[in-house]
Amino acid sequence: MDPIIDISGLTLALDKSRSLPSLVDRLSLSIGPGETLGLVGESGSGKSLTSLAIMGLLPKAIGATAGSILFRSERAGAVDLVRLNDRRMRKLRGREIGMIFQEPMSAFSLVHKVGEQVAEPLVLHHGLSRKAAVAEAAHLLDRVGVREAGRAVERYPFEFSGGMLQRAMIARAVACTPRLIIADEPTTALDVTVQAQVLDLLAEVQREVGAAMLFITHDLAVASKVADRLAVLKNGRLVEEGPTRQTLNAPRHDYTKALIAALPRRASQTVAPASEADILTISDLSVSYRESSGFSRRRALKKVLSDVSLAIRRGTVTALVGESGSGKTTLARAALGLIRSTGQVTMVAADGSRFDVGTLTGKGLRAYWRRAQMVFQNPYASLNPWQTIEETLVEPQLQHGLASTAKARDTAVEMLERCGLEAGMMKRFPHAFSGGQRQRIAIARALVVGPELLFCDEPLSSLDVSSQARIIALLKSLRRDLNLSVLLITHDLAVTSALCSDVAVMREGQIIEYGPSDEIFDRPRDPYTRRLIAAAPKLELT
Amino acid sequence: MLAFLGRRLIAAMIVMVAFSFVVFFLVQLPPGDFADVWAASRAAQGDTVTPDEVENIREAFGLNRPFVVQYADWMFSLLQGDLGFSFEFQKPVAHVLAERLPLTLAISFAALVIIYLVGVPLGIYSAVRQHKMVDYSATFIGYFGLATPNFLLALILVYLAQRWFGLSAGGIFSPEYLGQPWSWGKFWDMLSHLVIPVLVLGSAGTAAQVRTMRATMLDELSKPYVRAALATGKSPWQVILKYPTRVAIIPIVSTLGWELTLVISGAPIVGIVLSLPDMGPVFLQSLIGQDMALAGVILLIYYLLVVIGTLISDLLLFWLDPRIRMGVESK
Repeated sequence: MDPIIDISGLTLALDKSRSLPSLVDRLSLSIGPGETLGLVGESGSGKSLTSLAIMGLLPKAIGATAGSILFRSERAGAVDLVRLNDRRMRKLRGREIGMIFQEPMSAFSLVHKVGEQVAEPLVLHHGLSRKAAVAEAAHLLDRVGVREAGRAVERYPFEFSGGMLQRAMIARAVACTPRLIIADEPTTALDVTVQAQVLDLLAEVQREVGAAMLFITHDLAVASKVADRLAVLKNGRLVEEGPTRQTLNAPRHDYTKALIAALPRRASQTVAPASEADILTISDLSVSYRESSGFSRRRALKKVLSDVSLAIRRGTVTALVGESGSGKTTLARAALGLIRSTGQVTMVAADGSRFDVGTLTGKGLRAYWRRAQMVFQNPYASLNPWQTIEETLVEPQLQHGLASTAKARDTAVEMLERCGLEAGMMKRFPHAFSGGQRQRIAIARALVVGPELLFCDEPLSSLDVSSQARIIALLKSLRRDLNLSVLLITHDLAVTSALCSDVAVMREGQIIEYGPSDEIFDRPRDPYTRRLIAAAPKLELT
Repeated sequence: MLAFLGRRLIAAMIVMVAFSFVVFFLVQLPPGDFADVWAASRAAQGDTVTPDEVENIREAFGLNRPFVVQYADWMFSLLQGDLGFSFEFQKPVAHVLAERLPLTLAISFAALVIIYLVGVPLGIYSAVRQHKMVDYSATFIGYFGLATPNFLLALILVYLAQRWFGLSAGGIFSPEYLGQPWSWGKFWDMLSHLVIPVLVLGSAGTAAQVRTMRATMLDELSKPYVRAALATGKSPWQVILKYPTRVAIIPIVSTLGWELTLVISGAPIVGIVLSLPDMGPVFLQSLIGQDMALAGVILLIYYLLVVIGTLISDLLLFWLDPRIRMGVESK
């Protein structure tokens, strides 16, 4: 059968500088009807640019300098999307080519109703009246599993959960039964269990409309689940292409091998000696908010954490896993004394000093924060873009009155190098660094004050596989060399099994299972834990 | 929605009462009172004024009563619709206002309309055509509009209007229509004289709105939802006007309340330069003469306009942004 889309020799470059290397270099791919091609590679490899080139939505500065994208349109016959004029291109967008974007929350306008936005392609391409289109949108939402679809169309995106909104995005992309679906990292922003549901839904929808699908992801495990064939992209070049199983079982190219090797793997735990005392003891910790919930519009006392008890052994990495909204971050913030809570949090430092976090104020809290630090989820947002790396690393030390500026600089360099960066980078600003490098800088910033306890809130979730692998290795070495204790908040079970000696599973503000990592993974007792483990995408090699 | 409006109206009334107290206090703040000013002006004309005469004036106008009593008296008559008597102009405040207020409001609102009708679309266009000719021109004109003191701009425009269009300088009528009964010719003559004050008053505001709209629009244009909307097949302008504009216009709408004040407080100096019979010169004179009744009422009207402007902007925000709407309704 003729492929729906046939890309050949596609080269994308910055318009004005033909001397620079191409962003995408002589890429050739094709996808047949009903087929799913997984396009994998790290961030910056050109995956998203390729998809935008197909949509004709490349940023103004970037253009195709060579090659063609042949698309077999239902109405217009075979057309070359690279040379198609904008008016005709618009007739294909949303009608014959549907696109699903990465972050549902930012890919919908927050001030327009979901139904109106989902109905957009129907109004444009099928000439439906606004009212009829919204009714049809309700039908679509129902089909993709949005509950109470009739009322959901009248709601705004911020009233939806991420998973529900991604379903709405899928509904919008397939509203006009397209021949090609482009999914650009459609599940990266979602929890494991939601991810599994959305992936199933995508496959089902694709079968129903019989479309070809270009599935872009940096996650090999996800790709192995959905794709018939895999194409591996590196620095804009196609390095390997073939049937999914074959490519994963017998990768020919070194880069593919490296990608597979970088996947977090379960480590045989070198458990710290059991005699070591607990560094942090949390008992009966509760946090509640008075909150108005989106749908019911009634204010109620919402318990975010209820009677949580947990202990972290000195020199170990303990994982706190659970879906978003389960209270993981709240637990860390309460344990750091950043929000009010009831219950007891006690930290015992190496020199024997005790901190009862609930009772601390002012000076006492500052002394505690010198020993307990936090690393945040998004390294793009957690570093001040106006401060050089040096300023970022020196400031906390001066804040805590730990050293003179000169000495603080030395410590900064030491920690930067320990985190795998070079002293020469001190004078640069955060924007000069990749996501992975930024997260190392953020870790170095937490370390400069010499903490014993580190709270890491999803430190890996915005990074691609190889950056993840390097940060995991870094955390391991820090634990070993500095005898650091870490509470790692994550929704990624693969990371957990690679790094942590203890695991606590959270759900709806409670810890439902807690124990050594091996035990949790091999003999999960709670059905929810079992579900979580089952939902985690694994490299399927059969 | 109605509950929200009701709450806002009650709040507006409380604010107005508080304002009235502040106004009264402010106008009374400078040392001396109307009697002193009157005595000084008589003395300047060579008359001799005895302390008894000054005291009599005080007595007659009730200026020697305690502050709070005077305030209560003033408020009480205001609420009954009696705006008081202007010592400075020797006629009721209501008459002074009737002569001056309509023109002032007409000029100010016309300036406001220009500010938004020109500022917002030009801001959007500048953002979409960033670093193109229109954007650079708008930026240049914008800085020019912001940096030029508006009375200077008024003088320049008056000169140019006279030179090129033969418009008489200042006032609102050409000499040939002075004292004539109303006719279409006179009406058009008045409109042509209002163009300059409106342009002058609107220039800085327009420039500021262009800058704000351009900046917020640029932020919004780079957001993923714009690309996602384009992916449905909508044309770029359809997308821009439907999605990012609604978000980008929020900061503009929320400053609607004080934009009106800016325009009105710019009006006196322009009114004086252009010798317009608007409230500007009257306001200034009433303040210099410590004419409490007139100055107080004018200030109260200004405050009332700000309160109304803010109320309108709240209602618009309520309509524009569902996040605000739900925040309000869940309370």
